[in-house]
Amino acid sequence: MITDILVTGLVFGSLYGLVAMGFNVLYRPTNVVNFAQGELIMIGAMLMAATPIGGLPWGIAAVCVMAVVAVVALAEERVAVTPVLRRSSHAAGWVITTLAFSLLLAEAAGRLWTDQPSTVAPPWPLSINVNEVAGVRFSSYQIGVVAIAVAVVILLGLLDRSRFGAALRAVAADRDGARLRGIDPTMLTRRSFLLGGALAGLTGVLAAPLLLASVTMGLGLLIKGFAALAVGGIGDNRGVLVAGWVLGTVEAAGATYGSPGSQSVVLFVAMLLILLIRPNGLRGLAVQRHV
Amino acid sequence: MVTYRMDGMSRRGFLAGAASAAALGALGLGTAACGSSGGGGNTAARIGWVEPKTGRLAAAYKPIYVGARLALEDIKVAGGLLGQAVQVAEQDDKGSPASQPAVAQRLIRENPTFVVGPTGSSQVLASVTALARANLIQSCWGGAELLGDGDRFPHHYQLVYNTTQQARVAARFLHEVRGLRKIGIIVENSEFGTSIRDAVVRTLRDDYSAKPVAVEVFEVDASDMTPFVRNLERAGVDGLGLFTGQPQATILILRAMAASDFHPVIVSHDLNYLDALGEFPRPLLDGFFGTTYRGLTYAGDEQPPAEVRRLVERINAHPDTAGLGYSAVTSPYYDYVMLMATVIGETKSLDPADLKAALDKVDGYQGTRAKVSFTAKRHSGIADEDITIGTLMSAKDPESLGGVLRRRADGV
Amino acid sequence: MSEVLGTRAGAVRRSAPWVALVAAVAALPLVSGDPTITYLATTAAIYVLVGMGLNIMFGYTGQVSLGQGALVAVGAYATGILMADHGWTFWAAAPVAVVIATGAGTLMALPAFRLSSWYIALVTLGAAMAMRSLLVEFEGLTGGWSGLVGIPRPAFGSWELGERDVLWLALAVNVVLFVMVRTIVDSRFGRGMMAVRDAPEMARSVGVGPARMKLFAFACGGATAGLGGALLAVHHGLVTPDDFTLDFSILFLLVVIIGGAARLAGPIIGTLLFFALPELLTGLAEWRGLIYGAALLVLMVYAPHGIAGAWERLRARHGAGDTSSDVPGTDVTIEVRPPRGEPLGVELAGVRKSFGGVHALRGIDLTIEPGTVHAIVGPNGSGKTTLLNVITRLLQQDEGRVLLGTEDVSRATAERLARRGVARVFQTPRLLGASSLRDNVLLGAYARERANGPATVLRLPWARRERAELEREADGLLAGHGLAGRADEEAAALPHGERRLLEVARALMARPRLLLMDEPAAGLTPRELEALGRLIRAIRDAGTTVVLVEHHIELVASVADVVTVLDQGELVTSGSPEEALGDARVVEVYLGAPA
Repeated sequence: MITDILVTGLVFGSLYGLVAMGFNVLYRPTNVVNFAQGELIMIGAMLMAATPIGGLPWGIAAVCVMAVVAVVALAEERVAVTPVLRRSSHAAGWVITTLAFSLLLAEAAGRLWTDQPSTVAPPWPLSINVNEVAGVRFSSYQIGVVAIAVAVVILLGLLDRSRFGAALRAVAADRDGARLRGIDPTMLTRRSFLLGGALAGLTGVLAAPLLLASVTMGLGLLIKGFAALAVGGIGDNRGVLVAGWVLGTVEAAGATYGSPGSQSVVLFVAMLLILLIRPNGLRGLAVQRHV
Repeated sequence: MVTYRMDGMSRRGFLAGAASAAALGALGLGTAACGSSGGGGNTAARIGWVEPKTGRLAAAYKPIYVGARLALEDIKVAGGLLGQAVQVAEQDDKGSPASQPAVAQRLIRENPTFVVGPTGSSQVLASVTALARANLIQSCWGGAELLGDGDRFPHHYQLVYNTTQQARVAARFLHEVRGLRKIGIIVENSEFGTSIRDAVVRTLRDDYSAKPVAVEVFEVDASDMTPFVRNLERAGVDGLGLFTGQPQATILILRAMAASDFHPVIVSHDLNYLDALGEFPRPLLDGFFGTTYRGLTYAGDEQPPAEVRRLVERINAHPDTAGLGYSAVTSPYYDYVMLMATVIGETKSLDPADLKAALDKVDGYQGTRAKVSFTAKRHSGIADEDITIGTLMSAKDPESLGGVLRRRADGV
Repeated sequence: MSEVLGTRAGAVRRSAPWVALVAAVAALPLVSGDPTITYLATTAAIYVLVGMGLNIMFGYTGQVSLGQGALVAVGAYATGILMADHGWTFWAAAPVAVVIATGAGTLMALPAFRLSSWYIALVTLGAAMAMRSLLVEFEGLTGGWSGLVGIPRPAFGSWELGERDVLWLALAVNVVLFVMVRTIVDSRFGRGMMAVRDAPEMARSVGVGPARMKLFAFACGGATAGLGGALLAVHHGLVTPDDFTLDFSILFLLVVIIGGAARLAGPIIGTLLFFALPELLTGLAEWRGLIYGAALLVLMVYAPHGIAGAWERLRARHGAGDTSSDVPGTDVTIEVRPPRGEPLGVELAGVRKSFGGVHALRGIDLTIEPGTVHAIVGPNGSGKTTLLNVITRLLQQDEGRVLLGTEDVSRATAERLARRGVARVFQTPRLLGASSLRDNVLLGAYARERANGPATVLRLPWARRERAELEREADGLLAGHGLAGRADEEAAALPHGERRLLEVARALMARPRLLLMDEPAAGLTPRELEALGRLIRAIRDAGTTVVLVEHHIELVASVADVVTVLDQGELVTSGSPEEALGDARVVEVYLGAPA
């Protein structure tokens, strides 16, 4: 029972963590929290389920989906983010534009597909059939999802240490200052959106076999991703993955023991408590305060 | 996959539209009359039509209105109502309860002869409440028992079975027909889910002095159904009432059941056959039943009447059906519009008061799905004996005419 | 923003469009017999109401709330329960609803003390979700998913208000609230809010407590949401959980941003647009959603500060020609008014501060005599600014004691010090970019202005007199810096050098007993330097202690009474300018000469 909760928490927590990592990738160079992230993920899952792409071998299909979603994210950057940031980097106009972009994606999806949910088979040799090992019930695909989430954190960590990461940090600290040092923030922003889009596509691909692909799946993931982001700390990839796990476990425990109405209350209280104890996220990697 | 909407307000869909369509879409203030008819004389019948035209539910709800469109064709062929062509004023409610008051205001301004829709339990409650003081004859697809209360909503006529009727049929099937004693309930956390849960619990208590062994309520955006299914399994449930408006929830529940070889007899209220069901073992699906209308079922040699079969073929041929024939045929709107045509033809009047008086006396009107009767007090029109249980897998039978009709479960 | 200097005719002209708008909306139900119009107008009026509250929270104080809809729900449910279940009248239920929603808003603000703005957004989002669950969970009270029905309209005795009376009621509430918001925004509270939004450290240094300000803003937002909820409940006659979805919460943020955040007219314009746009798109049927999204996108890209912001910019561009061209100032002498009290001295004992592994201060003992100009010099990274931050309490030292006069302020807050008469000029000017120069200077008087909330909102005579006096003083200071002709311009438009002058003016507006200046000479011309030197001496002569962190050795030599040299977080020497600057170690520190 406890192990069931932990397995569920880890698996779905990994998805929430991946969503939050997508936020992080886009947040760095732009200070924008992308409200369209949920719809990008939905597009990824739907492409996997409802297009010829899904018929390709899994690996190729996943890469194609990531590429398509990355291009969609790039389009978002072009029409909804950079124009706003160029005119005023402090105003909150991006809230509206990313929401508007998410509306456009949702409307387009509603036009393309009905809301019939579709299943997506996990890649060979993984399966969603449950095995029991030492009293713990899990499927091989669940292990795969957790492993990929961990791998993504490691890859993003490596990227962070590269020149790209250093440039990102410079832009995050001071967009104009970075420009003086020969870094092109626009280029970085564009690359980040490509990367963030690919990550959203990957999240969709991974979520599809577990959650079923449907045009309505975006918002739930968006909100859970927000929660993981808040608890884990904005900009902290390891933190958000751990936060995802914590939230996933709290959610599973709530489903097992609590009444349904209490679930979101329990999640909220957990989030609030963690934030009050650690205002800069679980791992407390504070963004240095300047005076 | 649309029947589920009939009472299960799709909160996921709703929320999903949230950060997007509904939020930006002016909370129903953008509802507009497309093809509005304006004032005009009182000679031609005008129909107020509430259907989501934008937003996420637009595509999903289209099949539900196919029947009503076919009825309009039939009326046209028959020379209109009282010899005049019928005008239709469509209102976009975006599938959102919050937009209903604004839509209601527009309906009041249009003052149509009668109103078709809206669809979805919460949407209907909001709409009917907002129209309570306007004398507009209306029929919606919403199963709340309250909606059939002629004292409370004197102008709303319910042409679908209500949650109590549905719960009674489901409980009788599990308890009497199948002789199951460990009955469990799993519902979504919504207006529909909680009201049918209460109805099932009440029926078990009052009719069989029994109690469900497990009651699970899940959030509509729950990502994993395993914990709930485990709880049912631990309680030893052998007969399960599964009531949700979310097709993905149904599939995730079945998946969790398949994962642990837990195969209870299931009564659902959604018999749409989704492609996604293909992944499940046959024994699990063979134990999957759903409440439906007697007129849409067959058993042994008994086949539905020729009119129903013709209607099914027309529904299948209609472009809006998009493969969702079961939703289209269970929709109340074909029967409703045809009933209104009959009543208008008989009374030779378009005056709501005359029509209401006539509707309150309808007795045993044979609709395609079931017999319909109203009294001044009782506006819940579906006869109890016309509600039955169908099997899911009969969607694959040739007799289902393309997966639209269903075979009745043995013993009902 | 400043209304006081406006003539009566100007005031009439300015308010004319508003009066016309209110009159037009009020006349709607009389002109049109269509109940839809009345219904929509009432709904719009309620949204404007809630939007105005959110504008205080988000627009002026910078606190993003994605949970405003939940507060409206609190107000609506409180009203519904009291009226439908307990038979209260609207007039009794609405104030209770407002109080409850204010409480809920304040509760929501608690995390805001510790979290930055986007965390708050996420927390409020979570609160909104949790609130919705609670509405369903407490079925006995709230009616669960079915909600509360049969909420009567407000009534006077046996006379129940009709639909259009509810509209007029909502409009009247709007007008009162609009005037209140305008007064608040144009008062010390408004300036304090904007300071918290634009520059939290600067806000603390002028005496604004960010926590209190945020609390106040959230309370305002909660109160208006509660009032909006109460009106919504009687307007609809029923409340259900489905009325308060997430999109309902986000809606208000959209309305404020689209209309123009931190603009008085923002929520009004945003709401009107929000109601009008879908109507304009009527013919497009199924394409409406897509076109609506695209329209929002284009609107936000071309008007990032909302419609009101774009309008202001347009007007500013038209009126740009007539800026007065007085040269800021070098030759003008500033009349420095005496400080609020005796000059304050500072005493530091064993102060240490480190950031991570970097030791910025390694045990500083220093006495700053009252009434002197005390310069602190040293190479970059020697800990000068950290020292200033410890003295002004923007940083808490790791060890050691700080005395202000005779009072131990080792644990005090920056806000409290500001109230004691400590002012600060920052190295890079921290201004209210979107506010006028006059408002920026007036902000300096935050800590000594006595008008409290009620006095401000009610515009009590003594508060108005106080304010007029302060404005005269501020204008005097601006004139002294040669900025008199630009008092109504936006601070963001000032060139860098004049921003610093504005900072000095703001600091002087506090009539400080202790003034700390962080590199005020950076980037000044020789003439300006000379004027600065005169000014610093004048400030000292008026009776203020001046602490000056400065690189410019000539300036230091000419104005300082005492010079302290820091290097690598340690005190090298302290003494008269000649002694200190002639010290061999100092030369070494500066020139890096070998020992």
